[in-house]
Amino acid sequence: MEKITEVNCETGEVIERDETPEELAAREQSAQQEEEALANRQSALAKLQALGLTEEEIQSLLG
Amino acid sequence: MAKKQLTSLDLRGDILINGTANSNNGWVLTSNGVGAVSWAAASGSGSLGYIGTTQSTASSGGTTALNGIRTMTPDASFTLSPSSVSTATGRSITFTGGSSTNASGTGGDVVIYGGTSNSSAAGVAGNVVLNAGAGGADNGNGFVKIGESNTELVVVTPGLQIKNNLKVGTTGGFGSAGTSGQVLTSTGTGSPPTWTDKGGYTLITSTLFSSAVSFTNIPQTYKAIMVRIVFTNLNSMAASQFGVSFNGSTYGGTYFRPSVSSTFTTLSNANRTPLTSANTAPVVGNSYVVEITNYTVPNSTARLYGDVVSWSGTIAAAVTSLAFANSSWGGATGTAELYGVN
Repeated sequence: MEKITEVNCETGEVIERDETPEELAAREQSAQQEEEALANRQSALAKLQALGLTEEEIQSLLG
Repeated sequence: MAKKQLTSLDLRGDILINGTANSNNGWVLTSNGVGAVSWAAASGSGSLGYIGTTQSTASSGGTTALNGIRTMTPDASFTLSPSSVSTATGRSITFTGGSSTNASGTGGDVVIYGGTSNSSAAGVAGNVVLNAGAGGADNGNGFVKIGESNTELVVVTPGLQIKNNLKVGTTGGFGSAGTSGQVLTSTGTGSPPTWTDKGGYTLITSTLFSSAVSFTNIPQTYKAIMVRIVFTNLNSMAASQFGVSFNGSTYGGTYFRPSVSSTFTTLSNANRTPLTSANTAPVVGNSYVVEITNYTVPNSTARLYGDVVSWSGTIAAAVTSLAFANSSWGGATGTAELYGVN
């Protein structure tokens, strides 16, 4: 479980707290989305390379 | 007894009334109307020890002058106060320093002192207190006015303590106290200074962090805000996209998709607006900056400066909180600073 440093700008109070169950769920979903996006990106790169595009040509597409 | 008329009287001893002298120091000879006079204690609080050369009393509505007062040594407090009148304006009291008729002379000062204290350490000196009169509901209390005429400058030495409002100018006839955080700005010679918003960056708060960091209850009193985050050690932080969310929990707040097409185009993390590339952790020592102009109203513009490129976007609601996170913080440490900008 992650910790979160929370700064209340109105009172100046700084607390370090555990993340809430909702934050944990959102973070895990976020990590999963990121893994899927990475996998998609690597798959796309592999397909582009299989089509004969060079590394420079692929980078220019990704801009 | 037959009446006797005296052209002069040189007293060398007591005055006897009905054969008796009076031993009370300070008593005065008092008329009892028709009949014998008698000795009586002076009436009123305190006493005037000595009044010198002349007094003049003007007619009603004029000015009563006490000239040449040498000493006033009452053993009690005393008050100078003209009697109440039924006319529209109450009578005033004027203290004026003596004029000098010498061609190179100096006018006399009017000097008022509070009482000195006992020389012991615990002694407390008396104040000089100037109070205006209490007024009615329509017009309020009076002012303490200094330097209405013939005044070059009001000189305050050694210091001036302001316990409540400092009003400048003539706004509404009373001057303006400005708003919280404003500073006094000169308008040059001949016009009063004005209260203006303080320019530049004001550090609202800063914190060292060793976990995901968020700022809540951001004050809504600046034109813009800026957050700067610098990592000192990533420890076991995951190589995942580091970003910021607005107005929500650390991972679930509002985000926006960048308006600039770049290597960031593929947003793998829908809960944050990224400051690093996908699957890329922040770099130790780099500054990650978020600036939001007009953040107190909807549709403010945020600009993010992260690794590789910067971009901008629109936030739908006024920004009251910010949170920075990635999918696994791993004890990464650093400093986060929030600035207000005017």
